[in-house]
Amino acid sequence: MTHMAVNFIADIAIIEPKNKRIDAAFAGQFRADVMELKKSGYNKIILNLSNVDFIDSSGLGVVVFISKMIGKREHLILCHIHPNVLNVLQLTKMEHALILFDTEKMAIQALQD
Amino acid sequence: MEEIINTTKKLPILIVDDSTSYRRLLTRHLNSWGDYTILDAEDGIQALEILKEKSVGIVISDWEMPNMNGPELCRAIRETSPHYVYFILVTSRGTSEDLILGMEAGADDFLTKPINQQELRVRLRAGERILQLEARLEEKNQSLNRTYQLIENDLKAAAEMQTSLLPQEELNIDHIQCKWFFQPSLFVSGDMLNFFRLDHEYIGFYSVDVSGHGVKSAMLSVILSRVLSHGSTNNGLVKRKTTDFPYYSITPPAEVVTELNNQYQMTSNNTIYFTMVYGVLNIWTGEGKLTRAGHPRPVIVHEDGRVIVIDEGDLPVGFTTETSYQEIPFCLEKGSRLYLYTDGITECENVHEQVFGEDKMIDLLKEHRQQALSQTLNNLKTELSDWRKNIAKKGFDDDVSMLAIHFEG
Repeated sequence: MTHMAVNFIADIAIIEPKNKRIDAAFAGQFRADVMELKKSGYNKIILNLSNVDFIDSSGLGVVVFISKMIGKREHLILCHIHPNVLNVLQLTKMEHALILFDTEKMAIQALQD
Repeated sequence: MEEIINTTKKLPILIVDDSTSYRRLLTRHLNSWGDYTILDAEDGIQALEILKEKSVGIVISDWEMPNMNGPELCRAIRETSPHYVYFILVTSRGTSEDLILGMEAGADDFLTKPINQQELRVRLRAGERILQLEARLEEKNQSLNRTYQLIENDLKAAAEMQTSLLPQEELNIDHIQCKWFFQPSLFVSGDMLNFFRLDHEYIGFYSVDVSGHGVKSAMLSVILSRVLSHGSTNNGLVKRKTTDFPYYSITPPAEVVTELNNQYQMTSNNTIYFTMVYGVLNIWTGEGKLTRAGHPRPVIVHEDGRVIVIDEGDLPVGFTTETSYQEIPFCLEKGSRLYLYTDGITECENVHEQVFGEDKMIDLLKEHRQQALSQTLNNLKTELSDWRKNIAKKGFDDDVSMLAIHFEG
């Protein structure tokens, strides 16, 4: 998993993709790795997107896939979102379907409450 | 080539040396081992003549020769021979400068005069192994090429099939002109668009972008184009038969998209989803309504230059069945144009990884609004191609498509 850093706080897995782009080339591996985490019992996920400045439709598909896989909408939080990524989320109306926070700290707090 | 790899046959070796007595000596050695067929030439020129006629596996060439020396011969063979020739360069000098020169010319191995028989035999065996590997590689390459050809032909056929689903001609009804362009990123496309007459009052139109590219996306886009056509039976998703006069009803856009959303939900095995706009338009009044599911924002350019960007919309199709799709009313005036398009246009990147963007697209559509609709679309296509200028890769990264409706009022 060199393309993403994963940290754990209690039952939360914090995923930080190292790639600048979450696109078709990256999506498959990304999805497989997140599925492994789910198998290990992590049901709350934070996606820290601080390195990511581009997301395409395949990348968006993975984010939604993760959300569906977890089962509970509130258990996936995205944070540190680049303006380009936010723009895509707004255009596709995804910003209303996902939970977005400015910082990782705020995201952790929200999931621990 | 088969001649060389076939182990039951003798491997042809060409000896090139300007000394007749030396050629005879070497021929005698090689013949005594019985594994080889021996040819000989007195210089590089003669050797090349022989190589034109005969298939040779290994060349043992002297360095110093009149007319064309060993390294020159090696270079010529590397340039012209259709199959791999194992080249052994014989030198009496053996300094490292010589070795470098010979290697640069493409020699595989070196022998120093006087040639030690045992050493020669070992070197020839090594050469034979290399030739066998080369032959196997060549065989694999050919088989790969054949397979690739097969796949490419299939893809081309699929692309033709897909193209045949696009609008066959522009729909020119009294008050309406519809035009489009469509550019797959690679053979087949996840984009699909169409417009069709629903009855004497209404036309239906859509633009779809299935996530990802290639065959998987294209198959879904083809399926969708079938689902979204009312076909000859007049009984489908967009127009349904009813028992009362006029014996059909036009399905409202939100219902069409909701129905698709119920049918095509993402699963853990199938992570494909799509964005779309589906709408209906009254061709007499210019009034219409559309539903936007995660698709790029439709743009209306009025004749006087006012631009309306339709921002309302809902999630892409396939994300969740909880989405409640809304209908957005719009109104075209005399000379207004409605544009639907996929993000292949707005996300098209130039050599500096800058995207083309919605603003630039809208500016162009606005600037050229007085021109004929086909000309407006052509201008946009040209600008897009220019944007991609200096990018080594041919074609677009993403499928690109646009549907335009002009209301004459």
